[in-house]
Amino acid sequence: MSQVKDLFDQLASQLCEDLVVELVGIFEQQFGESEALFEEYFQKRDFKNASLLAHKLKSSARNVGAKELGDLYCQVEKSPEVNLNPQFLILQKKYYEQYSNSAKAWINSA
Amino acid sequence: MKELALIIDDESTSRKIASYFLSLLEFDYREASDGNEAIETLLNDHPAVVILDWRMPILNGYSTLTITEDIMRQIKRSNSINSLSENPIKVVLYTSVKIEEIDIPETHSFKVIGYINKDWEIDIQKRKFGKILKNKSLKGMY
Repeated sequence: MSQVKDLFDQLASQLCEDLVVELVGIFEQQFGESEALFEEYFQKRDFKNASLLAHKLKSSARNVGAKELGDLYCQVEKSPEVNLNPQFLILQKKYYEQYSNSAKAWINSA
Repeated sequence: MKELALIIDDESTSRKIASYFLSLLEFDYREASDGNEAIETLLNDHPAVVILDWRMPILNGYSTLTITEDIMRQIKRSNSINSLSENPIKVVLYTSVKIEEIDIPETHSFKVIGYINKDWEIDIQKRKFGKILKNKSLKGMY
């Protein structure tokens, strides 16, 4: 939790608090839209689009301090045939929930 | 008069961050979410600087540069528009693709002047934006 807080503080020191809050909101929306898409790409074995989506989310996750999610998307981007699997679908939800709780706590304290 | 910059990126948080840094550097800016959307602005408004993502789904960075270059050549040949500047548009690559994996095309219309990796820490990205675009430090600026 404190590591994530440090990341938010670092972001806010280089950008500004309002922008960080806006970025978190955009990422939350992107994540919401991506869950069903990853599920669909997994079912269809559509690795090309899975890799493109993971690339996009990797950047946005890292931009908002969601490091674990960024690393997870990086793995899918590089080797979707190997890493787009049920374990990924579970992990991304778990990491997102952890991140989202930390983000909310930071925003409330900001 | 402020210089115009065009941000071409399919990912909206990256566009937001780039536009924030550009506003600190006193650029006017426009945004395009892919190369197709960007070409019209490149041809009509001839921005001084392009902040270019490399891996994009519809038209990637390479194709954006080469297609625009082709159109500009055709326009110049037909002489239908005389307002196209002879000065190349400066390009800053803003991407998480590693520099050694990027094949930069040789063009007359564009000149790549810098590379900023999105995976770098945000303070490093900020510093690089200032250094590349205005040789200026953005440290302490919000």
